[in-house]
Amino acid sequence: MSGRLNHYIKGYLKIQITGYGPERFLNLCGTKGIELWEINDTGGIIYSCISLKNFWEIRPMARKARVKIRVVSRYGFPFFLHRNRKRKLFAAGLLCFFISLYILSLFIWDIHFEGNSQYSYEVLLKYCMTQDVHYGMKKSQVDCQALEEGLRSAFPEITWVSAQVSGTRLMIKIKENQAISRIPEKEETPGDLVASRDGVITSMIVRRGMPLVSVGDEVKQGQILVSGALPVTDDGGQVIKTNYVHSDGDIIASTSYEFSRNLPLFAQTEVKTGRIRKGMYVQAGSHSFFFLLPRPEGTSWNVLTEEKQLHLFENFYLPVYWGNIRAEEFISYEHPYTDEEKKEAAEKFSSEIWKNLRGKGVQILKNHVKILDNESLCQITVEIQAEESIGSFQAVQVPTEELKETNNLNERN
Amino acid sequence: MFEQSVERMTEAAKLPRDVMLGEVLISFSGRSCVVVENYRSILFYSDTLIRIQAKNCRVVFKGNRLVIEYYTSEEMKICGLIQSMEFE
Repeated sequence: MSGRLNHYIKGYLKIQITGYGPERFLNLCGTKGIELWEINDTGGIIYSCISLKNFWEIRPMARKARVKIRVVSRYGFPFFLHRNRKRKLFAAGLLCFFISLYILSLFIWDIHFEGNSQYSYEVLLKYCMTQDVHYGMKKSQVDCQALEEGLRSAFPEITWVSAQVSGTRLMIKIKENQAISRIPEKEETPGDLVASRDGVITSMIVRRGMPLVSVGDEVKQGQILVSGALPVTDDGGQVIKTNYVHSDGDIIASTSYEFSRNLPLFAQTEVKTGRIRKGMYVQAGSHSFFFLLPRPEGTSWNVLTEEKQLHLFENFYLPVYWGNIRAEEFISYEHPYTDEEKKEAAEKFSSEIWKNLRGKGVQILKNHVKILDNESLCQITVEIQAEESIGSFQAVQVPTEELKETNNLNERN
Repeated sequence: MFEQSVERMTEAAKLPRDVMLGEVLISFSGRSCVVVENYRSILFYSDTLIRIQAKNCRVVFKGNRLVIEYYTSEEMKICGLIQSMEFE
């Protein structure tokens, strides 16, 4: 391969060898160290390739072997230059291309982060911006060591950073701390656990505080379930002081929900006619251009635009957007809801509620869906029997004297 | 006499014969390519027959569409449909 490239760069010729002793000519070339290649015979005429430099040395050998040499064709870079010697603009363009390539290779065109999971790309890039490391800056101005140190000190969870410039890319490899760096502080604010909803308590586990209700009790929203005030009594049952603690516990109660939604009497249905208009959309900065045929009078169309942003490499986005526009004609009409449609709407409504409640950690025990239908209104009602944790923390105001004592108690503990 | 003693010495020392005695070295790659080293000259070349002079013998390659890929003073490579090789 390198031999072929070498031949191409230096230039070579295909020659025709005819006459008395072509074999002698080949031997003479061999002894003189002249390389010949691709020697082939086509009906008594021998063709061979020879480098441009050696071609000027074969004359005495050709005379000695009494052969005639004729150049059939020329190949290689020197001949390419000779053929295109008058194409000055082409040469200038080629030169400009290489110069611009060289100039562009002096700048950073992509910043790539690897190994980051806690800190997003945007956060890290924003930090780099504050350190004067940004897209389009000169490669020579990037101080990788300072950037590494800065990243380590600015983000405590980053334990190891390696920044290097490879080509026109700034590669920043990050290793983050997987273990928890600090133990979460224990909450010590004194307070009660209050009911967040009405319900009947099914189970109670109290870790701290004094329970004021028991299993089977009906509670109202806002009612104190576990009190953070612990009275200390003497032998006579007299309260001598009150200690305040941070109440903690799991209070599970049976709760009920009721949701309802009104449906209009008539449903609006859109039917596509099958007519489609397609177009293009380009936006550069604040200027935008649409290429879409105008719509005929008195028709309705749904327009969908698919937008893409122009970007160089992986993350270098330019403020140029383009996309395809697809408009579909439709006709809308109204009709009363059928029983199936009502059922479908009720199921959809119910599943929405289920999803919402489950997201909050509510366990659903029973579910009733009712459809109330009369001439003026259609109402969907969903009744849900559920079980959930209702204890929510509420801080209490502690009198200052009591607070001192509580603090002392906590210190002793 | 001298040549015989060199040959005996080569045999005894188990040295390569192509280096010590200048014997022709022919390496085939399948039936389509052959590299010939330690030859003296080409005696005849056509696309069906190549006759090569070595130090002690002549080597004849017969075939079709025989092409000399490269030809230098040390070695040559012949490609094509090689049908036979003979020593003369």
